[in-house]
Amino acid sequence: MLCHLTRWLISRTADTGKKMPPWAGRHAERCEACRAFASFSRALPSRLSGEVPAFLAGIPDVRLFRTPPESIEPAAPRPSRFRSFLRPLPIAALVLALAGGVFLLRGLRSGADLTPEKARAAMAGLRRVTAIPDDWPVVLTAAESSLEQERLLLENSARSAYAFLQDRLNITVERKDSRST
Amino acid sequence: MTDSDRVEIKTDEDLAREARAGSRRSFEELALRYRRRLFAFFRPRLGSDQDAEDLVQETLLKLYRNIGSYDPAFRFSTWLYTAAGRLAISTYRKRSTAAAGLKIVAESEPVGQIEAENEGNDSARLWELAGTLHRNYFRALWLRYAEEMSVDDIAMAMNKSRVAVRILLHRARTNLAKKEGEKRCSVI
Repeated sequence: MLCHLTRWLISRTADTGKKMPPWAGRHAERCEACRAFASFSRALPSRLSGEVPAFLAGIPDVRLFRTPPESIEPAAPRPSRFRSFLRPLPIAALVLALAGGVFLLRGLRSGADLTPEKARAAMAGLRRVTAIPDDWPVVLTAAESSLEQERLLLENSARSAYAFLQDRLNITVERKDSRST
Repeated sequence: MTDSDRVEIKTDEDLAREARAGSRRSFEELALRYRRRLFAFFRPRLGSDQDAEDLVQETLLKLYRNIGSYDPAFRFSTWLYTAAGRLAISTYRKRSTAAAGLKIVAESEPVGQIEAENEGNDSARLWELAGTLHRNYFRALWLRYAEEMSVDDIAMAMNKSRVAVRILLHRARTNLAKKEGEKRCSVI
């Protein structure tokens, strides 16, 4: 088990450069096989990289083709984001957005030359819209009464379910707060 | 001929950039550089050398068709092996490598003779040994040590997570060490 962990940590060091924990280092010193694996892993980059030319030399020189077929043309490079940005639709959207912005800005500026009469009229209109209705207690009662109806309906349903369960299962269902009494 | 015309001294990324712009000469240089590497990469994955050759041909054709989508922000080899890996997987599934219209002409000896000759070639012994491992172990080792890719690049090329790649590399090392005659651990 310790050997498996130690070797995994040796591989981790080879791939990520992270240091091995001290206990793994101590184990590798004592364990001949782990020590051999560590030295094998250390030597592997230079051994395998060094063997690549000889290995490739063993593969025959295969001439694939002199030139790619005339019928196939390489795909054109993908247009950059900047170029795709210059397409008609994004430009139209940008122009519209700019026009909207200018329109809003002009509207805001025109608010500066409001006459006091116009301002007073606007405020009066605003108050009319946001004013609380005179008959607000009636409105409130109506809303509360519908809630009350809902509560009564729920209570009736619960009562009927309670009666049904008592009847069918032959059990007594008690309210939690009534048990203490 | 100026230095800028000499494709041999250019980096892969420079060549890919030129190929993207339409330079056929640059693409040919890239194909020359990678044909054997791709063959070595594919060979342990497939049943026969002929399949590996077909796959090299297909990969290079695909590369030529899609060179426009190469992003120079990435290493060329990562991009190439990502495409190669995907192609190998689909070919492995289909087991049929349709000829893509490019004629392969072997300049030298048939591929089947490679192993016989390499048996006496001690300098490539470890790669030959690695070739007997599971194909994914070989691929991970190849990308790590022959192409000198980082774990992140290998993960991208093999379409796996970083942890999966580290596990592959660890198992590849362990199995390779075993094949070299590792001793059993005596300390518990």
